[in-house]
Amino acid sequence: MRTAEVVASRILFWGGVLSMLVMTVGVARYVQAPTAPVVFTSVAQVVHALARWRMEPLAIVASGIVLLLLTPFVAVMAVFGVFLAAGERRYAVVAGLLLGALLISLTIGRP
Amino acid sequence: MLSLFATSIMTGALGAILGLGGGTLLVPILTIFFGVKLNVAMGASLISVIATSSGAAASLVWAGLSNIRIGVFLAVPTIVGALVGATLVGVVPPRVLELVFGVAIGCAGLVTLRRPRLASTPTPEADPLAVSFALDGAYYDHALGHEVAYRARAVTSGAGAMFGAGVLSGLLGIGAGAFTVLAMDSFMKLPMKVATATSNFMIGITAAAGAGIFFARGDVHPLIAAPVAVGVIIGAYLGARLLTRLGNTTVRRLFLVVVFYLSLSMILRGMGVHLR
Repeated sequence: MRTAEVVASRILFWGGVLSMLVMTVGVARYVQAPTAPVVFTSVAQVVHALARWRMEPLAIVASGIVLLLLTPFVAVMAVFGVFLAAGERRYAVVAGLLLGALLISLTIGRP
Repeated sequence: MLSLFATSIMTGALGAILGLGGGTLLVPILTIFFGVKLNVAMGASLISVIATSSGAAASLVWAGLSNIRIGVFLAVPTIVGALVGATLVGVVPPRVLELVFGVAIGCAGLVTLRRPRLASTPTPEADPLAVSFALDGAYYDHALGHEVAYRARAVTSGAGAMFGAGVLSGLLGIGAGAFTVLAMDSFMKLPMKVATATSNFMIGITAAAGAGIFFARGDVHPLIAAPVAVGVIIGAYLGARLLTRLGNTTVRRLFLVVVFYLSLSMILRGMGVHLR
């Protein structure tokens, strides 16, 4: 199943590169114009801060972090799709379980 | 922030040279030298683990070493363990966590010092689960000069060990790669190169599960996690290049000094004694 491996590795690599770039841009903007430290606890908060007239530098940093967090999710989703398309139902179920566990992780930490 | 970034580069380089990954070294360094709260250091460490795992994934897959079937199969118990571990962080007192971390990093050090297995031994008895889930493969080993075929053994024990490694990952905010490689090598008898490459793919996914919980709990601080992640990935790249120039004895001495100093420091912190 080299296709699944290639697809997963490309998503992981480019997701990693993109998120690093976004974080670097955010940190550079923060250094130019520091703001009060903020900690984001949900994707909605990050999107809300990004949507403001002048994007908050820390929201840009946080969106890079969210992008990095989501990269493995997307890779597992793609692997799930590849297994499903190849008719490998058993592995599609295993990848589906993995995806479910990842989604649960996003809800557990909520206060 | 600049000193945090510089330290992260050094930690990433050191992690790559010592084969431990940045996360294992990062948590004690951030807590001991920067006074960062343990749970925030763990959150930053998990983010850096995802970054380094993502960065290394492409090269390992192209080399034909990473086995996605084995990775996906074993990631399920590992992630369940990580969810349990990350949930416990909010319950277990920080001093107990520091103590557990100190012991775990010491164990990870001992594990990493073991002699690696280059090829899997022939498997006369096939594990029914390995056959059923096709947990096998082959790769061309340039060092040995021939193709190495392998099939996982003791899958149930391996999956159990993965759950344990996942708990450590979630609980301590590390990739726990040393432990997942140990499980694949010792229990499942997979070739070391396959175990290392597959573990690298898995730890990014496991770290994402743990990091999701830390993020939602407010333990991922952008101004700590971002410079650390970018610094560690730059350091890991530099460390991998530097590794080829260092002798084995130098690496071994460096390893022993760094790992056991950090291990002892964390154990002492757990016991209420602060070296710094």
